Amino acid sequence: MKSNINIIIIHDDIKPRSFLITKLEESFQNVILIDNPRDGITYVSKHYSEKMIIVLDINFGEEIDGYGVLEKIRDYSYLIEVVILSAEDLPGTQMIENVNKLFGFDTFDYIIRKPKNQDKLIQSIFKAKEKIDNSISSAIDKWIEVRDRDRRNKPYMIDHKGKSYTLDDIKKEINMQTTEGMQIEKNITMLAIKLMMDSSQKK
Amino acid sequence: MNVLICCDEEDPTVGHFVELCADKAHEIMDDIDIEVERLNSVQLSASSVSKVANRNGDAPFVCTAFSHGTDNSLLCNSDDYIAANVNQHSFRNVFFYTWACSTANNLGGVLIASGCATYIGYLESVRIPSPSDAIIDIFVECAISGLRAFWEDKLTAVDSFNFMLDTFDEKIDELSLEDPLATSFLLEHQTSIDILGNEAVTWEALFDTI
Amino acid sequence: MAKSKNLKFNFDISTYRLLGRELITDRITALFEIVKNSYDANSENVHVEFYNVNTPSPQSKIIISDDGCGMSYSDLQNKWMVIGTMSKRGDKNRRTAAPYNRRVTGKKGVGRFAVDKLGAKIILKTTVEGSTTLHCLKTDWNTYQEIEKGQLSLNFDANKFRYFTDIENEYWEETAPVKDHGTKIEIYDITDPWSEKDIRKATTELSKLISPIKNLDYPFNIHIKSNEYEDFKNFLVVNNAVGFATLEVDVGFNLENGTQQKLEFNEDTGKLDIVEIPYDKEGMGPIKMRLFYFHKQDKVKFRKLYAGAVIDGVKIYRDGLITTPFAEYALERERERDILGIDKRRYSDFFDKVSSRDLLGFIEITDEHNPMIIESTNRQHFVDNPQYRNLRDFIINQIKELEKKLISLKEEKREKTKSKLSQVKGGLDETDAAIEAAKSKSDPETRKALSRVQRGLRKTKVKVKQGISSYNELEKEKEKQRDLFLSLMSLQDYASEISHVVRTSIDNIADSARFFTEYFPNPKYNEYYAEHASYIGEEMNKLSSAVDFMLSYAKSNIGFTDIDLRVTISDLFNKIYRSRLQKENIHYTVEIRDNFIFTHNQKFFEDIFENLIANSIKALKQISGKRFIKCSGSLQGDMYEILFSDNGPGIAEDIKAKVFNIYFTTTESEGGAGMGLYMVKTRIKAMKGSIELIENEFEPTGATFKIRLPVKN
Repeated sequence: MKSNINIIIIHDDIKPRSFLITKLEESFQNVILIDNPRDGITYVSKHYSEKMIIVLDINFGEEIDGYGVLEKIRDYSYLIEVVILSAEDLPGTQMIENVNKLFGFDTFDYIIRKPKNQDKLIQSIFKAKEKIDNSISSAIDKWIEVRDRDRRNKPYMIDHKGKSYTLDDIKKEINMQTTEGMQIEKNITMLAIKLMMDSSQKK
Repeated sequence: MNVLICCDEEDPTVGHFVELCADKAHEIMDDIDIEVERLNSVQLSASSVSKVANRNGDAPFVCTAFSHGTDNSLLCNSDDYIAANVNQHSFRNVFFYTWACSTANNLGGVLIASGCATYIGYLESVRIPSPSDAIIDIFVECAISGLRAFWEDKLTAVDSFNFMLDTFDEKIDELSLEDPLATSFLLEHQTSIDILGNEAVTWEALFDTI
Repeated sequence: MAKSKNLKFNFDISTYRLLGRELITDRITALFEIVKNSYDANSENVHVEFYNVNTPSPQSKIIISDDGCGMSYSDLQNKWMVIGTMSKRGDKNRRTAAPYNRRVTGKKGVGRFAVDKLGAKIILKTTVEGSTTLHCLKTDWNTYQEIEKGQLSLNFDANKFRYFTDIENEYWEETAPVKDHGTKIEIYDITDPWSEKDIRKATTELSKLISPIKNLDYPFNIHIKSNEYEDFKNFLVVNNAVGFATLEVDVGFNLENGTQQKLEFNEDTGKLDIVEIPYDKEGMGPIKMRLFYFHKQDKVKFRKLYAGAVIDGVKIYRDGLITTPFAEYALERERERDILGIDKRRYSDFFDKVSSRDLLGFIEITDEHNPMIIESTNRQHFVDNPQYRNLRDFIINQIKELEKKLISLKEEKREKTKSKLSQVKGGLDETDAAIEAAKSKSDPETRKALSRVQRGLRKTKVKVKQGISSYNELEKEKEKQRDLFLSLMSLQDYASEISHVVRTSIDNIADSARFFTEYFPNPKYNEYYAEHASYIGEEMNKLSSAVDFMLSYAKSNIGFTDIDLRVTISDLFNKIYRSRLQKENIHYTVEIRDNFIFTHNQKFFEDIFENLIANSIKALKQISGKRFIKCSGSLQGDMYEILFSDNGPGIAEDIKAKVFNIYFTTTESEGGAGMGLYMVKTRIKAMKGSIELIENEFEPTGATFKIRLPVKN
């Protein structure tokens, strides 16, 4: 069964029928190649609530570069795993500068594009898939997704301060990994633990 | 007065829950012949609560409070109506039962130290379902279950407390199949409740003096 | 009542020595400090006298006397005798008494250490105006040192232990005329001998205190006297370290008109003009400036005359005296303190820059007119306010104008030398011809002699010719070096871009190779195999053009020449591409207005347009109707704008952004690897210009490129 996690490759110099894409298509239903940063951002803006892994070229020139794209992606969701693909092996100080730029934007991996790193890239994408599959965040996100529309728009929960949340609000909190979102995830984890414990006691 | 119900049903955020809890409490008491005083939102203030409570003198009574809470107080409309350093002495020999957030952290202890018999309340801040949700009944039932055990089944404080925990377990099991997200909130409630003071007290023992 | 057992600090003798050593490092500095003290005491004259200092003996002495305000007994007690006295510190705007109002320059309370540096015994005599008492103080450092030695010895008597502060200095009083005022310090027991050279050096250093420009209302004169050296019998220190300059400029200001003079290099006349501009009263204020530039030979002459003097840049003087940041600098020359930042300027004209080692500059400011130029509290810099920056920018700008003049002088010189050389050659030719003519009219004897002369002459001619060609070679070498340096810089940018291209191609080829390894001969991917094969071909082509590009850069004659824009472009159309264009039935128009000539590599520049023309020819193949190419140019401000258009199918909206991309190619089918526009763009960038695709000139379809080049190259 092919994974339904979308693989989005935002890169202007990878061929549509390249080995990389062909190989990924063996395991993922949807591998999409976008050859410019602008369209990449548009895609994310429309599909950020879907599970996805983005392979991002950090070396776009001109108006918006890879870092800019990453920033924009994070405006929408922190649940999207991003693997950075860089054309350059930079000297030490430049590397540190680049890493600093990435700091806070939560990248899954940073790979230098080289012939010998082909497999490394593919492996990284699979690791990202594992992370997504096994995450509570994904699970909750998905659970909310399958509720029907009306249910999702109605107020669902009120926190101790009296603030009201719809399911979609909660989904947003989870996506953005806010304090509230993370607390809710913790609660679900606690529930899972309790069910495990109760079940183990029941025999 | 045997029972004092403090209830902030007009609160825009939790009012719906409060009202359901208070009504449920009333329901239980309709079956028993006791004197119930109820202070609603408009009447809830530190002075009015103290007045009513003090009228009882040292005679025991049950006090339930359904409203917003903090570590140190119970509030209505952002005003403390029962608070440490305000009117903690008005609850001597009282069986205090509240569902408001975090009061067990400090207020509970203060009340106990000032003569309150037993205190059951929450340590954490909790989430509740919105009014439109049918699930809210489950939350209410769980919230009231301790009182029910104390009044109807005449169990001791601690047994009532345990009964409450069991009720939560039951409901969690049921609800987890239907709505795991809401169940996780319910679990938060369960892990939050705490009992302080005299655990052996019973309804009858409390009113033995009457 | 119990006595307080509270304790106080004291310090011992060796401490003072440590302090002294830190603060005053050498004798010259010591003299400098003492003279500064006199300045701060509002003196008009300071006499520094050396007696029998060539060989230290009991008769050696140095006397420093001034006619300043002198000290009273309490001044002596509270200022001279207090180490690190507060009286000079504190308010950075401290001034001496009216009417001098001089800004206090001397270092805080170090006078007595300075004195110690010069000799062991001093007798200080001082009086203030209006008092008949001459206060006399004798300090003998030998006493201190003996005590110190005693303290270090083994049979040290703790009861006799004395602190620095315990030792008493003999004081007595004499009479002085009531109108007298000033201080005289006589130093005996001189530590080191003073040769004539030493005194000369000291004099040169002291001369730096004084600005050569200002005629003070309240002057400050330093007189040197020596009984041993003729030159210094009675010597007035002036700042005249201005002889032998290669180039000297002088600007001032006019208060009435409110104008400041400023140097401006006139391109047409090659002269440094002095223009008058109104000065901004809120700005730095009006200033006087003298700049002296020294080239190598003149530097040598200068150094010979002024022993120990150094050509060390521009300094600022206020009311005739050097300002403190520069005073400190003068003393600590080893520390590179280019306060004005002359040497830190950006290396835009690497080869023709003037450094602070070539310049002596005197900037004269006054308290009255330049009040916002203030020393910072640490006395090492000026307060960084807009006025100071204004001043600094002005100075650097003037240096730049100076540099322009120097460049033109160099040019002139070159031209002169060249023409001289050819004159010489011409003269020799004439002489040769004259001798030849004479020979024909002479007898055999004379003819022999004349032939000998001729031989010698011809040898000389050969040498001169060699000289001329070496000279030309040298010029070309210099040009080459310069161009090489400039072209290297853009080569670096180019190299990193090319490496990016190459890396990407390699990655893509590796991907294709992997594809085959993994999937071949799986029939599921049959379509893909062909595609990958063509991918590989594509990338190879790109690599190949990258190499071509590199080669073209390497091969090209990196020499720069003068390029006439109109001629170059016209020739491309009218000569080189004419037949091709005719064959393709393409009508072309070349309209170059405001023609200009610039310096660059001819081929480098031509290739740009060759590319554009080739692209247009390819594009126009698709047009069946009339085919046009138009190239027009005009001056727009300080940029030259060239529009290059054709009426081909134009460039589709969705690829407009990618068209200059190194990977982009639409003409693959025509066998092109598409590096053309990328190359065009990088070359124009290397020329500090820009290219973009704009709205097309021709209707209904077409493409127009706008190229902008800086005119001042």
